[in-house]
Amino acid sequence: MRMKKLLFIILMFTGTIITSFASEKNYSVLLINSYHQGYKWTDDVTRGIKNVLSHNRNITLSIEYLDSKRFSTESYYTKIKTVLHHKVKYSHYDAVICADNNAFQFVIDHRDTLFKNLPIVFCGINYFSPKSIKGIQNITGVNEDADFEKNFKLIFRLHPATEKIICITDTTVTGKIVRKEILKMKNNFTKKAEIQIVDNLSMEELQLLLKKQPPNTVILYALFLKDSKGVFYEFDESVKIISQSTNLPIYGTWDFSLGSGIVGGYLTSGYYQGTTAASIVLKIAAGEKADRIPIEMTSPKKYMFDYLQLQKHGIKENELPLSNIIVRRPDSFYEKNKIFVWNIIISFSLLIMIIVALILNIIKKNNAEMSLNEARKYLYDIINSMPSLLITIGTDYKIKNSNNKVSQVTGYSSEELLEMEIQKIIPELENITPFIDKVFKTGENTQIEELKINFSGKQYILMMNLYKLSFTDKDEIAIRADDITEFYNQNIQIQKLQNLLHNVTDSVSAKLIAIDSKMNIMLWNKSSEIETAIEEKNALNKNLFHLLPRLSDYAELFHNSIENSTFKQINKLTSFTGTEPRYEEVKISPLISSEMKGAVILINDITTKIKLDEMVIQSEKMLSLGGMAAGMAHEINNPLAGIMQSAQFLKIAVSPEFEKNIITAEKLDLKLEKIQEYMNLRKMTEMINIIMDSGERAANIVRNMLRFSRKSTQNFKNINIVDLLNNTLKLAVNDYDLKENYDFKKIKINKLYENNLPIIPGFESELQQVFFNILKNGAQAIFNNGNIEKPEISISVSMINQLIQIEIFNNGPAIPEEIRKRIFEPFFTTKKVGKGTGLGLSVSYYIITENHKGEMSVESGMNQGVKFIIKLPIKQDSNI
Amino acid sequence: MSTKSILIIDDEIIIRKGLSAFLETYGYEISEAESAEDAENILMKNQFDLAVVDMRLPGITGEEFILKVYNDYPNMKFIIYTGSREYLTPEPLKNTGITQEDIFTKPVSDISLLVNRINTLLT
Repeated sequence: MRMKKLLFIILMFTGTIITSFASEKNYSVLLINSYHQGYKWTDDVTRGIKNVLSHNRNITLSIEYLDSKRFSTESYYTKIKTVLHHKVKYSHYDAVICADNNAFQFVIDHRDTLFKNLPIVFCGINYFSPKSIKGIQNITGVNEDADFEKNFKLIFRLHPATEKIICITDTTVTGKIVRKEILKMKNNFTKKAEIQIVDNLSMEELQLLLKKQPPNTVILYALFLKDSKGVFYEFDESVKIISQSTNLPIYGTWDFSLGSGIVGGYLTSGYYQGTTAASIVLKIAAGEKADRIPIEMTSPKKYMFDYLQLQKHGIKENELPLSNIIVRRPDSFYEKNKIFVWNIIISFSLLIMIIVALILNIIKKNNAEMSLNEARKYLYDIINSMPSLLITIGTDYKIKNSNNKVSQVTGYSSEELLEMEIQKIIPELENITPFIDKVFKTGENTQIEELKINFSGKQYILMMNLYKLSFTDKDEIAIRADDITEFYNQNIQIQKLQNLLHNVTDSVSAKLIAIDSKMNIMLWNKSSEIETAIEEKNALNKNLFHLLPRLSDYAELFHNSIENSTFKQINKLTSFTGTEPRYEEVKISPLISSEMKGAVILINDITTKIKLDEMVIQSEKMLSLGGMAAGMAHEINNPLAGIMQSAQFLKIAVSPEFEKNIITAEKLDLKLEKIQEYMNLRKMTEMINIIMDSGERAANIVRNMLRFSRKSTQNFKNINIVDLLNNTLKLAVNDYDLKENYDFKKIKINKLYENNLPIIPGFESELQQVFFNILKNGAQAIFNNGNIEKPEISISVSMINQLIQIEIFNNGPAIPEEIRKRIFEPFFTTKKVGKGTGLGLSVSYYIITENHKGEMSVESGMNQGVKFIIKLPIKQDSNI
Repeated sequence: MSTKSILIIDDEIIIRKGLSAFLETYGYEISEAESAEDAENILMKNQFDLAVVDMRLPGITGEEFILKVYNDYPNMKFIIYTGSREYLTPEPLKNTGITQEDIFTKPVSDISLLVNRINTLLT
C-alpha cells in the first residue's frame, strides 16, 4: 500500500519535470545583428550568444543580419521589415536580442508592429544612454564602452619610462564620445606623461605624426573608422596600417584590434557582449521579467595581449596583470600532440604507481614479517620469563604448550611435555579436571586458591588460574599456576600470631585496650567485651571515651601519655553501678614503636582488693583495740564499781527502810525524813543519781569495749537468721526510743528472704545487737538527715557461696566516702556528743568478723541509699 | 535469827568499803580481806556464812581460793564479784554449787540485786 503511494508520488514528480522541460523546449530566441556575417565584431557577438545559449538545449536561436554596413537606404529597411514581418507571422519568438546600434534602432522603431510584447535584450550599444529606451517596456541589455583609465595604467605598468601617450580616435559619434571620455580622466596622468589626442588627421598625416614621435611614446588606439578626408576604414584595417608605420607599442580598447598590430590592452570584447546578453536571455527564459533585470552598464572587458607583439616589445608575461588572455601564441609540441602527450604521461604515471605500490607492498610485507617475528620473540620472552607455570591444555587434559618455567620445575623439555597428560606429571592434578571441564563448558575464568601437591618429596601449595583461550579458534584452556607455598606458610604464621595475640589478650582478666593517637580503639580484649557488652568488631575504630565514658575525665592524661611517651596511671577510678561502687586501676603504657603512636591501656578492677584492704585495716584496728580494751576494762571497772556502789549506798543510807539508818539517826536526834528533805532541797539526791547515771554510762562503754577482747568461751547456738531478724524488727518497732521521734512505724519495711535457708551457728544476742544497731542507725539517718519522702528499709537474706548474706538497705542519705571508710572505727561517730558512743557499728563489725568469722561491709550510692552487707558462714569451727 | 557474817575479799579498798557499808545497812556483819591469803588468815579465826570474792586477786586467785575454802567449809556460800565481763562459771566451781546467778560483774548498776541474791542464799 505504502509502496504504491510512493511510486505514485515519484511518477507525479517526474511527470512535472518532463512537462516543465517540454514547455522550455519551445523557447525561441531571435538575434538581429546590425552587420553581416563574416564581420569580426558581429561574429564575436554571435559566437558569445551561441556559446551561452547552446548550454540549454531547449532554446533555439534564429539569427538575422541587417547588413547595415553595406545597405542603409529607407527602401532597404522597408524590405527588411517586410521579410521579418513574414517570419514573425509564421514562426513564434519568445525573445529578441539586438546587437549593435542599428539593430537596436530597428527593433525600437518596429517594436509594436514586429515584436509586440516580446522581451528585448540589447548589446553592443556604445555608450548606452537610458534615455534611448524611455517609455519602452520589457527591455534590458548590455552597455558597450571602453575603459581608458585602466589602459593608461596598463601602459605605465608595462612601460614605466613612458613620456608621451598619443590617443587615436576619430570624429564619428563614438569617436567624439571617446575623446570626451579621455579628456575626463586625462589630468590624472599628465604628471607622468604628455597625453595627446589625435582625432582630426588624415591617415597620411597620422602616419607622419607617429613617425616623428620620440622613443618613449606609446600609442593608445581607440577608433579610426573615418579620417579627416572622409576615407572610411574597417575596424581592423586602420590599426594595421598604423602599426606598420611605427615601431612604437600600440595599445587598444576593443578586442577587434587584437592581432592587427596592437600589443593588447584592457579590451572591450564582442564575444563577452554576446555572452552577457545571452545570460540575460536565460534569466528571462527562466521566467524573470526583462524590466526587473538591471541594464549591465559596465561593459565586460578582459586583459588581452598579442603574443607576437609582447615578444616584439620585450614584455614578459609575468609583468602582465593576472587573468589575461594571450592570443597568437605559437603552438607547442604539447599543444599539437595534446592527446598523445597525455596518453604517455598517464600511462607512465600508472606504471610508476603500480611499481611503487608493488615496492611498498614488498617493504610492508618484509616489515610485517620482521615485526611479527619480533612480536613473537617478545611474547615468548614475556611468557618464558614469567615466574608462573603456564600451560595450555586441550579437552583431553593433554599439554599443548608450556613455558620454560614448567620445564625448569618438572625437568621435562617443552617437546617432551607436549601431549603429556597433566596427571602424569603430578597426580594431584587429577583434582583440577572438574574445573577444567567447567571452564571448557562455560568459558568462564576459574581460580583454584589452594591446591596442595607433593613433588619430589616436598609439599607445595599452588594457586591456579584457568581461562579459556579467546583469541584463537583453538579449543584449549590456559592454566597459570603459582607457587604460593611461602605465602601460604607466612599466612599460617600470621594467623597463628594473630591467634596467639588474641589468646593472650583475651586471657588477661583485666580490660586490655589499645588505642591510636586519636583515641580510637585498635584492640579490645575479651574482658572489655564482657564488661561493656560491646564486641571487638563493633568497638574497633570507635572513640575510647565513647565506649568507656568514665575515662573521659582523664582524657588529658591519655593525650599526655601518648604525646610524651610516658607511662601514666590512675590509681583509683571510682564509678558506680547502683549503690555498688567500682574501683579500677588504669595503667596507660604508650606504644614504644616509632611507627605508630598510641597506647596500651590496662584496666584492673580493684574493688575487691580495696574492700579487702579496708577490712584488713579494720580488723587490725579492732585487734589492737581489743588488747588495749581488755587491759583497760578491769582497771576502769573497779573504780567504776567503787563510784557506783558508793553512790547507791548514799541513797540507801538515808532510807527509813533500814533499821540501821533509823538507829543511827535517833542516836543523833535527827529525823531521817528531814535528812531526806534536806538532801532533796540541796539536790544531793539528784547529784547522786547523776553519779549513778554517769557511772552507768561509763560502765556501758567499758562493757562494749570489752567485747573486743572477749575470748569466746560460749558455744555457738543454732540460729534461724530469719526468725532472729523478725524478732529484732519487732524489738525495733516496739522498743524504740520514742523520745527521739524516730518513728520506726513510718518506715516501710521490705523483706526479701530466700526460702529454705539453713540454720547457722552463732551468738544470738550478739547478732541481735548487730541487726538492731544497723536498723537503729538506718532509722536515725532517714529521720535526721534531710527529708526522705518514702522512707524504706529493705532486708534481704540469701545464700551465696556457702555464706548467708544479709543485706540491710535504707534509702536515707548517702554516706560520704571519707565517713564510709571509717564507719566501723571504734569511737567514730557523726552524732552529737552524748548521743552515741561511736562503738555500735565497730562492735557489730567485731561481732561479725571476729566472733562469727563473717564479713561485714557497707556500700553507699552517690546521693541516696546505704546498704550494710553481712556474710555469715553456715558452719563454724567449734575450736574457736 | 542471828546475824549473818559475810567476808568480802577484794584487793580494792574502795570496793570493800562501799560494799561493806551497803551490806551493813542490810544488817550483815562484814569482814574484809585484801587478798586470798589475808582471807585465809581471817578464816582461821572466824567463821563466815558467805564470801564475796573477786576473781582477780594478787597471789592466790579468787577461783583457787573458793575451791580451797569450799573443801574446808562446805556450808559456806560464795558470790563472785568480778571485773571481767561475761564471766562464765568455770567447770570446777560448778561443783561448789555456784551458779550463773551468783556471779556479778563490776560495776553493778543496782547493788540491791546483789543483796537480794545474798539474802536468798542465806535463808
